[in-house]
Amino acid sequence: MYIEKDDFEKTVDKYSQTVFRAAYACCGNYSDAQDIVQETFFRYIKKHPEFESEEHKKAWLIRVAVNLGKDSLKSYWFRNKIDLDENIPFEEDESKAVWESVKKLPANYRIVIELYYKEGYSINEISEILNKNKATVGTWLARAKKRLEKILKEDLYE
Amino acid sequence: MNNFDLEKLLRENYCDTFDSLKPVDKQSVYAVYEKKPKGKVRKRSFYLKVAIAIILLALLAVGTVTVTASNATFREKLAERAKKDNVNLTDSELDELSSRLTQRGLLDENEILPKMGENENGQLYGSDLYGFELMAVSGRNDDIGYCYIDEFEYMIGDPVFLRFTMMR
Repeated sequence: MYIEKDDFEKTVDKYSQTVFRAAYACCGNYSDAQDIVQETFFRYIKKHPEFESEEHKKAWLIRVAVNLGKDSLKSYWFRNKIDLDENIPFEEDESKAVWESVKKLPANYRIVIELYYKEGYSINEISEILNKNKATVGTWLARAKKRLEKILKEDLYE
Repeated sequence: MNNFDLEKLLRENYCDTFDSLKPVDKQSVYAVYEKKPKGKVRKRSFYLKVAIAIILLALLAVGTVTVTASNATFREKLAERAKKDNVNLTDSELDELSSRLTQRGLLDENEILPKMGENENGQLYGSDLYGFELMAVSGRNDDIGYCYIDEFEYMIGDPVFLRFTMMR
């Protein structure tokens, strides 16, 4: 099977932003997320897996991005560098507080929050994407929300 | 305080912020296409593949014999350890744990197994080698507590500084 350039570009147009968000949730900065997106699509061409549906393709791309993100977190380079300010234009203080609070969570919690709230996946679907037990994903989501609630209540109301 | 609605904050504010991030640079992703492996995949010779398969099968056979023997040894050692630490492990838990330790490469039968324990909620804890949900940690003040191992899987840097006790 061979991927035509047009098909590849259509896939990039359709899913690059989703892949980027998953990568960003994992590594927490723009430049690493951009590198992960490139590497994810490189693997897509190299492996050109056969997909049962568009949903399957999307889930495969997210899974690859998350795995690459996890690897990048473990690398010496990642652990020893300082993030550049992303200059995100926040419209409300609440948005900034929520964003900053989510960034403080461990990466696995951030990924689950991103997939659940932004991508709209169910816990079942997330467990398949991350190759984790359903109960584990449920626990991660519950713990993430509990931590966020604590941080945000302090930040926003005290 | 009454207006606090986490679900709303996450569904609206968090998601909106993601949309306001600088979009991914698609041109650099399109360029990935040019890096793709050129031409047809090089085929290794049939004989080379057969030779590799035979070597792998032989290694697998030797490995299986070794692992089975080590599993039995580990099972006994684990049972001994659990008894010493007053932890009740079922037969299936012993089987699972011994194969997990074997997979982690602990094949030396002289290996001293770290201490394990069971907390008041019946949850097992111990060295991260065991792969229990909880591991015992000691803080700077030497207080001993438990942490969920999965929270360390993705941890970056050294935000809390925890001294891990192997509890040998």
